[in-house]
Amino acid sequence: MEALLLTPVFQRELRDARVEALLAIQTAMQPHESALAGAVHSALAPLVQAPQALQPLAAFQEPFLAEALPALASSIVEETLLRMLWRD
Amino acid sequence: MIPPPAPEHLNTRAHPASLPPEAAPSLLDASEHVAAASDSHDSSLQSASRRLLMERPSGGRADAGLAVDPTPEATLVAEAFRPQAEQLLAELAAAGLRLTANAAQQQAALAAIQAAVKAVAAEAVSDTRRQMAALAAELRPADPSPAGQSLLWRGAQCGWACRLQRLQRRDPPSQLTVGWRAAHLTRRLPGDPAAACTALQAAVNSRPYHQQQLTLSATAPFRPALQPWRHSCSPRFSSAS
Repeated sequence: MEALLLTPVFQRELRDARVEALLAIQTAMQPHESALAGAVHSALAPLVQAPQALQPLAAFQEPFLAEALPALASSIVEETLLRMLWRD
Repeated sequence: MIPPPAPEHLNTRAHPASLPPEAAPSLLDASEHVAAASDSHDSSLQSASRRLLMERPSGGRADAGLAVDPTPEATLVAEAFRPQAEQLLAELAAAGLRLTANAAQQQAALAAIQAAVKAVAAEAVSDTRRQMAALAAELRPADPSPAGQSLLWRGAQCGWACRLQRLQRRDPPSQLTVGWRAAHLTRRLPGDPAAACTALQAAVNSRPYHQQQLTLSATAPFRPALQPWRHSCSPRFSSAS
């Protein structure tokens, strides 16, 4: 497997596969973005000592999603494709 | 080799809520494989997050979210999100937000965030399954032969559940590579790619609802055969190539 990972052809295919997987995951999550932001915001609220300190959901949503969604998709791909490839 | 789907699974047009568990066998198989793999995965991260999910306090919005079809894929997504959740907490603290110093409460909040992500992911998985079932049903009349159905069904399986399924087949590396790259499906499965492309094109043109899904499908298994007409089909289609 290690040798295969060093093969240029395999690396190219892996890059393509990763891009496609990211696209698929982001597309699947797209309709649920607002629900995700709302639920995470709600989960964070009890952590904050000053109740008003956390941004309102409307302000929290955009920056959170912009950062979290790509990272989430990337994590999923890493958890599946890359880790499983390495294990095989 | 991916086992071909049974034709009756392509017949369903039922609403996903009413779909029997066997309506999309490949995906359910994938779920089982993922579950098996997750169970055997001794990563401390996964076991820690699993513990957290089990030990989290009851009540709250995240608990309500968990009631939504907690599929193995959704669990995987929630586990994968843990680093981001931890980073989010760290960033909030770095930004000067006074967070509780109680470690147990922080862990409970992390678990709640994961539960929230899990609920959202479960809905996304459900949506993906629904779209794939609808797409398979939509495309079926174009090529009713078993080989054509099989090819189209594979083409429709471009959600991440499908990718997980291929991953979990645990082929030797060389075959895993081939299997994971859906582009190779046209070589490995019997069938007529041209007929499949015709059906896909017809579906794209007649059902805007499916465009997004077809975009994903067409970027992989049918890419070579779609080349001649892809750029004239739709902006979305072209931009995905």
